[in-house]
Amino acid sequence: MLAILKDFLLNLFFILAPIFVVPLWLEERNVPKQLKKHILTFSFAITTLLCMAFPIGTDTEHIYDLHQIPLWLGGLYRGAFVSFLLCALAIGYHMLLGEGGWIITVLSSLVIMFVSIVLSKYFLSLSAKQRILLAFVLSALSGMLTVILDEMAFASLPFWSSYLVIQPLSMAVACYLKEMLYKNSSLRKQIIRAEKMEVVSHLAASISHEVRNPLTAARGFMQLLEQSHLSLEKRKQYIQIAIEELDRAESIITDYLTFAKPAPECVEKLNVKTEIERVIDLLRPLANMNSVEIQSSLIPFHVKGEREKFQQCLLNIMKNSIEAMPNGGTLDVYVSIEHDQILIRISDTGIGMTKEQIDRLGEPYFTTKGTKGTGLGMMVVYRIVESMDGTIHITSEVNKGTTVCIYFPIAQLNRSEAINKKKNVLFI
Amino acid sequence: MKHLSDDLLIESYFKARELKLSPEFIELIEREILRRSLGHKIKLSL
Repeated sequence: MLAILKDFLLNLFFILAPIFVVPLWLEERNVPKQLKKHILTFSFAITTLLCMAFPIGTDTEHIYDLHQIPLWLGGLYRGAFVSFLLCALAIGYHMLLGEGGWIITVLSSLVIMFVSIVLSKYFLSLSAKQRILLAFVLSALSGMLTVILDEMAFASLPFWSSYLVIQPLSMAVACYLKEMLYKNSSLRKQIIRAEKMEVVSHLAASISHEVRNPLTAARGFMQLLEQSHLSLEKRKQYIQIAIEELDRAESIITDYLTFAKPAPECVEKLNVKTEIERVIDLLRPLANMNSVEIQSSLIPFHVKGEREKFQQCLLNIMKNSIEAMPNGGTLDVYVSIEHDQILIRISDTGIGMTKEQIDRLGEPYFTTKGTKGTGLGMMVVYRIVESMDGTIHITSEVNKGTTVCIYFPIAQLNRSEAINKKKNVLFI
Repeated sequence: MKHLSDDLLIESYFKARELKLSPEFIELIEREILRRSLGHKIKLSL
């Protein structure tokens, strides 16, 4: 009995690894979505094979294992292709082994494949609780089917009855963990989004202030245009100025809206220079309000990451810098290469931080801004930098200023991209 | 407003005051005049 329990636990471990360990490992890394899918599919395949390679019990007549669980999970959560692949794998492995009872594996795998393909869409539309319940019922049914097909099993009653109980239970546990993990990761994404909306609403005040000036100017010059005795030359100048002012207002609003609206989540090669320039444009109104001067020395290196997240990360750091200088100062943004890594250095001449404060930076809900801060900004920065395989170093001196250094690995351009770039250079 | 010639800027300033345009607008022109260090021109004629 103990041996059987041991085998069951080993099987259960094989199943929990791909739904628990692999996604957690993947989430922290900067892996393209397509590759993520392939890795997950691959881990499901490995699980199926491992389950079958270490069957439960020593009875060679009736081989039982939990390989039906990855089959169900793959089919229900991941769709037709994965289901087909896993089914083919299970059948292929059993046939290769050449042991008796392969017809049972063929039949049960095919049934699981068809049912999971048919139910997959409906399954994903259910609530988490209903999903766990349905998975429980389905695996109980497929277990029963196996036992009925394997008529000989009636001889060893305690064995198959325990199989009938343990398989659905393991399935429910696996499903429950999968749902929990999913909920957790979506919650984490929501925190990052919520934090961004908070920053967006903070910026709104400075943006609206900055937009009002060009509008006032445009309106004023148009009123001046109304005068009857104006030379054509002066009229032209007034019209030109009014248009310029309106364009300025428009570009401020466009910058703001591009940042505020959600962008698709895709990892791409980002030009550090253009991204930083965009963030600086976005923050200029706030800097003007605090009489902060922004200086920058930027070089167009490339990093790999999601555009929206990268901008959010830079914006949070620079916004903190500006807010650390309520009486004005200089914000300096500098890009260079250090030890084969891209260095982005953001330094201010603000109030600075103590050593204790630096140590606690990045903890959720830790803020140096009192009731004004949420304590999420730097946490989001740390998370984003980590997800882009970067590192962050902060030095600070009270009343002197703070310097944030971020290091990112350099993203190599593809050959075609490099050639295009060369062409551009030649044309210039 | 940066592309407006100095003369027209000063002229606009007085016109705006004459026509009693919005104080915010007058303040914006005033700021631009001060930025170009032309403050003496509007102070002299006050």
